[in-house]
Amino acid sequence: MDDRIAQMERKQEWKLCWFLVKNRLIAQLGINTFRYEKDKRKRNNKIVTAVAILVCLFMAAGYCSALAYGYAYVGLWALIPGIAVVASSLLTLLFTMFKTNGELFGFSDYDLVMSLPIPIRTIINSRLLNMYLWNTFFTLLVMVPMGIVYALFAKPPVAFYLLWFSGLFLVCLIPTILAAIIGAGITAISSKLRHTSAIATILMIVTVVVIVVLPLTFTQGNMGPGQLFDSETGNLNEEVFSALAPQISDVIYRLYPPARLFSEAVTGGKWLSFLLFAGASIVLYGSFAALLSVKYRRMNTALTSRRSRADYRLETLQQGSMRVALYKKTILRILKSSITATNLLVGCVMAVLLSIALLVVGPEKLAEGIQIPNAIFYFKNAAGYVIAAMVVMTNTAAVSLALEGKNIWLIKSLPIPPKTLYDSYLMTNLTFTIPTSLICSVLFSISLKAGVVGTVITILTPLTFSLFTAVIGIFIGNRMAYYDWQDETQFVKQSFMSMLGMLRGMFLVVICGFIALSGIFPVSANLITFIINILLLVFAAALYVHESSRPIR
Amino acid sequence: MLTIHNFSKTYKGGKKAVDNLSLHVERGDIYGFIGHNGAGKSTTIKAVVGVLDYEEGQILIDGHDVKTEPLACKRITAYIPDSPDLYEHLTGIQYLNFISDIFDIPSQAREERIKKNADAFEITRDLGDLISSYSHGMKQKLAIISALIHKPRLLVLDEPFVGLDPKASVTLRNKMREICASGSSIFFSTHVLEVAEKLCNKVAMIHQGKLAFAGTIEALLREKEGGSLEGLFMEIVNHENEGAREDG
Repeated sequence: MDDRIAQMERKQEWKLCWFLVKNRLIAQLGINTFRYEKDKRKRNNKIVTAVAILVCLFMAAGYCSALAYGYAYVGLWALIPGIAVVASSLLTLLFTMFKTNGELFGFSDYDLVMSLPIPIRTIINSRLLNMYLWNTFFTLLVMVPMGIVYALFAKPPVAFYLLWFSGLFLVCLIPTILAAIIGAGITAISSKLRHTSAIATILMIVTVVVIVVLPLTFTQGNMGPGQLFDSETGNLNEEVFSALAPQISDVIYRLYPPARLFSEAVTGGKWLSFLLFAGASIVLYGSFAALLSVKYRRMNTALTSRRSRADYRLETLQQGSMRVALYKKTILRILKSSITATNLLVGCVMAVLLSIALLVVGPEKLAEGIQIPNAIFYFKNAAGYVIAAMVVMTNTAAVSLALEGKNIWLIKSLPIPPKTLYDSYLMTNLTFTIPTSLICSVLFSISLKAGVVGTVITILTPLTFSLFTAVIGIFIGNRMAYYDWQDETQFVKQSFMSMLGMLRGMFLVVICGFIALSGIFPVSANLITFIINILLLVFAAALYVHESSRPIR
Repeated sequence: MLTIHNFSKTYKGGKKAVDNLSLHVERGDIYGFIGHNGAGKSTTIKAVVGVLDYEEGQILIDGHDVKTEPLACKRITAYIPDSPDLYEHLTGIQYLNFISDIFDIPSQAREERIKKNADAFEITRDLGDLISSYSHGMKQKLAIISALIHKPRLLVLDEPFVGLDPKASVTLRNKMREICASGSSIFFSTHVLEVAEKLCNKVAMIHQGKLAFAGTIEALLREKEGGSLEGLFMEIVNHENEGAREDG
């Protein structure tokens, strides 16, 4: 009898869990916007976003299959399962870590959900299940094309297909939970301190740096892919080739031990390895959910409650200009939210890290690894573009207006001239990108011993692109801004505006870089880069004048 | 001070929220704007303060057209919405300083005004805390203090008494009387008819987007002998509903 009651309760809990997951998916996918939204602009925005996301996903799947094909083509197909697991796990880890705060903790409807008669473990399960569904989707994008390439080359037995298919739904479990543990750790630490968001942001960035840098330490001393081919004849270097496969496998398995179990299972048909892999994944997931339910409420309360000192004494208040007031407000808006800070500033952080890495490792070592003749010459010409490509990912100007969200009534009801508002958004964007561009270009110039002209071009290029993309950001922001978003994480990560702000700049840098460096014009790369800079500055100035008089959307 | 002339607003999908509304708020008026939920009060108010765009009619503030001279109108107006969504990442004093900078209020003047009003609403000690830690009532008080910083000539309030404790309500009523005595005007929406009856010298009633009554409280009470604002409101609503049933 007790068993039956327990079974019914479990069934009821899963039903509730599914309701919560369904509700969350409806919000994330914007299903109701497609079905019920009468405003055509909003519907079209959603459709364009969906199409853009799908294109990106197909490109990612295409990249994965090309990568797998590359390995299979040189006979290293045995590495594909291990690489597939590591790639999808790393992707899951990084993406999930960024959204743990906002998805698992401190989510917008926390108060509502917690007030309903739903057990805490069901709420946790629903949030984890939602993360799992998305991560499985990304895993499929990585592992299905790689699995097809592997099957085509290795012609494995039937057991492979069974194990690979089952693995698709298990691979993301460990990284999801690891990311959630890291996120929970960061949340637990930051929630105890006064500047919760700032501490969370710093810890998150440090963790990402560690995760990105850690694999590099494993590969130190190993042979680069350039050594696979004889630099003189262009033929496959058989000696290197035979030694390379076990070395790469070793790196992969040291980097992520569960990959060994999965790889052994699918390539060698070892069911025990697969059971161990599946068991470890499921046990980790279950244990985490159970442990978290003990402290979940306390962690969320600490995260969402604010310290109230109630001891303020009015002191002298400094008068400032309207432009500076708006600038300070916007910069605080971005920095005080760990979600906006980590997502919007990631490009600048990456640029600084790369510059430091180049200074430490040295361009010669990098050139040795990739085995391209005259590599340092190319590095020197491309330096400005490489920095620009990362710096322009920080495009706060594109989302600043939409970030006003429910506060937009204030901006619209105050006597703020549009130009002053746009200037404040530009200043905010440039506060992040200009110092980063300067620091990185100086570090690059020192590392590459760029010479006077090279240094000037390396400094000028990212500065120009920063300015240009910030003005374009204002252009986009004032045409596409919408304010009725509910979920900051979703807005910053998945909105078309946010993606367009990030990717458009990178795309432009790649095109300009190609024009300058491909040699299609019979003049020096520095001269073409200089002309591109001038053209972009003129265009940015003209666009700025044009946009300044446009009313706030 | 505020003239609304033949104002209409139709939302996407064809719903007419406000239909041909006209009213006039003079200097020194405390003008109550009364209506049921969804009557069109907030739509009208948002159009007056420049938050909502509109196509039909004209709205003038001190002779400036809201559509063609929005900045001139906003410089002399203050608005407090029904739900005060303020910048939660700022502290109370940072927010007030931000608003002061927007209106270019000199340092000394802003200090005096903030101190006076924050003391009156008993929120001075909380100004150093983040707005995200404030209760709804505290946010409402902060929004009121920020609205008074530049001594507006027209104060537009959407349901200003919601969320305020009794003492803060009395403080706000006194403040409203003080503002109007100095020659400024107040246009505010409310559901609390008793407050409107005691506080306002003029009222307008809106029902299903259309103006049902506009005039002084005295004229209203003269017209409805022994009646009250509540009585008139119920009469209008019931009459309209019966009309709608007969049409149906």
